[in-house]
Amino acid sequence: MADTPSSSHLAKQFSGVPLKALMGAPLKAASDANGMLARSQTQFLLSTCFDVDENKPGYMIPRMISFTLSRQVLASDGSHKTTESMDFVVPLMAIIPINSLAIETLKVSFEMDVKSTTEYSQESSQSHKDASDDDISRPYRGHQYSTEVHGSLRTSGKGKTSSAVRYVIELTAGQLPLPKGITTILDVFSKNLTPIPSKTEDSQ
Amino acid sequence: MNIQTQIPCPDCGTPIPVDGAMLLTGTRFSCPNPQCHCAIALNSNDRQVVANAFEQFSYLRERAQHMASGH
Repeated sequence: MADTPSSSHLAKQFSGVPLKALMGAPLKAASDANGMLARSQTQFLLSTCFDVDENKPGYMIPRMISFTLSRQVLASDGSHKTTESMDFVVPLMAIIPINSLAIETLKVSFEMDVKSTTEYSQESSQSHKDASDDDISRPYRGHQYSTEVHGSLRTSGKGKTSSAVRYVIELTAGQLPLPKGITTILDVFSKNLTPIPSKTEDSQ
Repeated sequence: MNIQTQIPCPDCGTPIPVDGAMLLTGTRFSCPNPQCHCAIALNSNDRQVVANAFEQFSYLRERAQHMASGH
């Protein structure tokens, strides 16, 4: 909508509307919920995925879980398939989909309509009456006449003017990516997943 | 408990999709890379640790869903 004087006048009528509270409240509630989830998630990570390092007070070490990797290997002559197995460990936190614990998207749509309508009707009537009479009594031309003229004018008008201002505010809050610290830890672990042959033959 | 996660293949690095419930039963998950013929499975001695972690994570996730539906 073009910013006409009329619309700017209407826009001034929004000054009393508590927009901050109307739009901010849902966002703040979502943000609080996300904060609460983040704290719970941190507690979960520290209590479930880490152990206290007894040798170094104040340090924590990630809890590791063991996997078996198996693959089929062809013999040198290509005729015979054998299955080789080896163990490798990954941190427990690597298999927990941590970033799914958050409110992904919050959409607050806020629409306001302010309409100003003015109606007017105008009616005017005017009438006019003019009359005259005369008596001509001349001896050679004697007659009497009278004239009467009526006139009336009636005008009426009816109109309606309206103007409207529409505000559409859309707020979208998206999920933040994983904290850089966690991403780095996961990245380091992912890069160091080189299989280490198990000391004992695992025949799985 | 329906936890879907993924573990990078130790050989080729392709993410291997892993179903939480099946992982705890000892199921082997094959690498989706057709050139890589690796399969991974959780060792039985760590199943309880993972089961506890999944259980706590599910509880957290339910709380998150509850909060999200409240808005």
